[in-house]
Amino acid sequence: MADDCDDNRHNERQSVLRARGVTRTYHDGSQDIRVLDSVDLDVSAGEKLAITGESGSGKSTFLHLAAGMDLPDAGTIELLGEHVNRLDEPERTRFRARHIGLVFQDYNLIESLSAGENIELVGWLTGKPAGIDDIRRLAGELGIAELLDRRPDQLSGGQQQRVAIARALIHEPSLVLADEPTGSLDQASAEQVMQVLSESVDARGCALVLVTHSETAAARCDRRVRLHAGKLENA
Amino acid sequence: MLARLSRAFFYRHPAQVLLALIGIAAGVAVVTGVALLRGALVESLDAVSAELVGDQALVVRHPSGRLDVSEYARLARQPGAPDFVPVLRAPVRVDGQRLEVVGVDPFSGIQTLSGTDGTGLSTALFDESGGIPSAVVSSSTLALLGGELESILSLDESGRQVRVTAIIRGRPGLDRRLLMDISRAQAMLGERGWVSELLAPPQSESWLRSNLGEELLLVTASSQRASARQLTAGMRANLTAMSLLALATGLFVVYSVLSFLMVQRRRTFGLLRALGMTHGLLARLLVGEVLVIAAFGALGGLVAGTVLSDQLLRLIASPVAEVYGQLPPAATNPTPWLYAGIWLAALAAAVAVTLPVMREALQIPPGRLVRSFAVHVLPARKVLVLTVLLVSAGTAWVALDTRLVAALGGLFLVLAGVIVAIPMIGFGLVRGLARRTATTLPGRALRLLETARGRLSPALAALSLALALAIGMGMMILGFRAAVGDWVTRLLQADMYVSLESRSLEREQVDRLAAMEGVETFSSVRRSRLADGTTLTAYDLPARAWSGFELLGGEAPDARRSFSAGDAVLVSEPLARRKSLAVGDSVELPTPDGPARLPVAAVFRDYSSEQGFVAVTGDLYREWFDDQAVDSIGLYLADGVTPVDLGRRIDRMELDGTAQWITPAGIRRESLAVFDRTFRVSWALAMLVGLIALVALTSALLAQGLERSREHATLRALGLSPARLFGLVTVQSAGLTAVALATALPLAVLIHYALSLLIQPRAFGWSLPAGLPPAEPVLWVVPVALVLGTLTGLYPAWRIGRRPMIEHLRAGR
Repeated sequence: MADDCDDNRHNERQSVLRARGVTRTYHDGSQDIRVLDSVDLDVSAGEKLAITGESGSGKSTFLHLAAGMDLPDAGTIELLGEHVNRLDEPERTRFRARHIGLVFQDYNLIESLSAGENIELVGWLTGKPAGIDDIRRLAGELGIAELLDRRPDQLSGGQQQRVAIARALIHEPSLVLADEPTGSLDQASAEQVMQVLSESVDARGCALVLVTHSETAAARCDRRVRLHAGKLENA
Repeated sequence: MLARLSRAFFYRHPAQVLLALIGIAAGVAVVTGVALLRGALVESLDAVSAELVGDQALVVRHPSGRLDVSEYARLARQPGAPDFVPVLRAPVRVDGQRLEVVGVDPFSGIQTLSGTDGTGLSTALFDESGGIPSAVVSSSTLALLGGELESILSLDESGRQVRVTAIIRGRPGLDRRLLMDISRAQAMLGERGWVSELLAPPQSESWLRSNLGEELLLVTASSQRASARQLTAGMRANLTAMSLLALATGLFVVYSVLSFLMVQRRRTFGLLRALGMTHGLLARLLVGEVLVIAAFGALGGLVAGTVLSDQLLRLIASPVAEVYGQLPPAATNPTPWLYAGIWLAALAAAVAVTLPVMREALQIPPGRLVRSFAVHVLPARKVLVLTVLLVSAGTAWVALDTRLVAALGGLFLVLAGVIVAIPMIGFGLVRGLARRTATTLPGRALRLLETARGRLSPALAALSLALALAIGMGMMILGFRAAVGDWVTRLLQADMYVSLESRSLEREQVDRLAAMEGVETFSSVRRSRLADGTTLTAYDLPARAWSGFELLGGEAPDARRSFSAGDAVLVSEPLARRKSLAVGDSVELPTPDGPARLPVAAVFRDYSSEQGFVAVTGDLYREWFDDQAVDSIGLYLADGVTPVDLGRRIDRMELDGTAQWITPAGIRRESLAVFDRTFRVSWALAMLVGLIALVALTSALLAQGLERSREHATLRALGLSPARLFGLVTVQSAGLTAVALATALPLAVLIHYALSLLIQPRAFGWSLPAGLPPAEPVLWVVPVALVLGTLTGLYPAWRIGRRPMIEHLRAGR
């Protein structure tokens, strides 16, 4: 996994995510709601991209499609050169586990597991367990080394999100997808979390796609795009 | 508006509502089934006399059970004699069902009986068309036999037949009876000159007391019924205990399912509270829903219970006839009051068990779209205190009160105490297992269960209790079966036993059998009921038969000497327990010569009757009662003579009755078959409890799965494939079953010993030899439970696996 990240660093211009003509429509009774309408987007290795837009503009939907958790009605999504929407569900799941790190607004830590076990979880899912030293080192970088034995309900929101970031990075993914990671935090915690996320991604040369409402958070990214009524606009 | 809110939710979740209905219905069905069965065993046993002459009828009997017609004539001719109703009763079999021929004189003073088509009893009983004796039967008996009016019923395998000439309704006391004209019944059964009893109106009591003489017994129909009811008291108590356990398990299901329904609406409740719904209004909504579900579920349970009761009645009909000599009715007799009582109790119980769930819902802060309910888990110290209190209270009750109700109540309290601790112990085991298998799928799966402890605790406790019950009861039954097998083997010292079908052996017949070539010696037994209700058994025993008695109290040589000399009696264990008799105490027996008081020489093990009996020598019995007949004889054969050879010769003898002979092995086989039939109902109820517990597990897993939907979605997002998620939930279900089994095993051993050493002696009067519990039930139940437990998890696993991941990733969904 570390080799993957090194490759990314050396091939900065290589495309990690390529979306072409991505369209997604939801059906609400007799009404069709087109959430994404022919979206084209490229994200290069090591690049940090912020996607902004109003609520309901399709930001999270795009993220879910990019992670292979959902499939577009039209268009293609390539991740590291792989057409994700041509993979079946188990293949997409394996691909996601191996190459993508996910950070959620509500942290989504597993309550019955300690912070350390939450971080360790991804290694188990990918079949490549992380060593305890790797977990400690990463936790140290994120300022949560002392919290590894605590359960999520014993952590503050900011601490929980740091654990979630560690979980997203422990397997050295090529792409981190973060869905409003600071949305549930106060301003001070939000800034700390964004700083940690940004620095950690930089340190690993991984690409980051950040969906956010926050101007401050978006400002930490190399590039910003805006989704409006399902269409992509350069911000 | 409240109704609309509930209705909309119920319509959207039909499967969950159905599960709740099944849970309640299953618990109520078992309770209803057993309540109706109890009713049948209480209300309708030995009610023939009451049906014929009235509840207060008086019954005149001879201790031997047979009354010479000349004696009846002597009584009837005396001045002031009441209008006697002579009755002949004899057991028969029709299509494998045990029935009784009841011969009556339709012109005597019996109550008016007529067929459903208006045919009078005398017309029906004297209908001789076709040359086949006629019989009147109840509609439920006919339904049991699958016959109709004019059906020909074949009795036993003797070729005797009767024709149904009238059907009567509304007389449950005459169920399983073939009502015949007494003279035709006497002729058909070879009982000319004999009747079984004389019935007389209640006002004739003083006349009877002064004219009956010493040899005849006088009892009332109601006391006869009461003693018949008493016979089945132990069985009824055990059935009640089982039904209450089934109800308790059913209530676990109700709790699990309703908490599941509640979990689904956490967000709605938060919103409603935010929008201004008061606690009171929310409570009304929830209570209303519980009542609606419980009302319909309980209705279904009443219907299912009624069907179940008839099935249970079929299961116990044979044992009740074989073990207690009583014929239960052909069908149960539900009453609106019983239904109403159970229905209301079910509603109350459903509301009571869902109070904790409602409390959870009411605690949701307004507007906070909480992710999950924090189900209250009792702290370990409180659990331990509660367990110690309940176990101590139960133990104290058992120790201080020697009644059966105390044993059952005490056992319930002890079980309740242990059950309180089971979730704590069980989840401790889950943690331990998870730690040992930390890096594997099972390890992760079990680890994830930890936070669901509050939700899963009731299901774990219910499952553990059900498994413990099945295993513990299985251990008791098999242990008891082995004890009965050993007892029969030891008791039967003769090479073969001979009796006559439906009647006793007269002295002349005994002498002829004993004089047969190849017979070395013989034993005989005569059982009779004395005026005070005591069963007296008279034995003629050769020296080598003595070793058949397993003495529980008393010295064998001394006891034998004084018993054989007629100076003392032996007492069977059940009677000794019931009357608190010990060696050295004395027993007073009413005899025609006045009360006879004899010391107890020994107490011996006996499983043949719950009421127990006093044993005396045949000589003493004949001296007292001048009754030369015996019920059966045991033949001790010379070397080289086989029972089969002798049996063939007996078959060819003219004995004025159909001779039946059987070897000890045959008796053992038949006894164990009767034993197995007796306990079929217990097995059936234990299985029902187990099934209800599995419904509880399913609903708890679904509730848990729903509550953890975000965790499952997160795992899916992080890379857990649907197949592995399916595996994870299935492993959780199997793991919970394994933990339930682990906690059930010690509880099962406790139940086994409690049933064997406390309940059995107090309910039936017999003890079981101490020893290790049999392992077979563990070997059967463990794999079956693991397979069923795993299968139970498949549906929740499938449901959880196909939930849309994205929807559940966000909190509050």
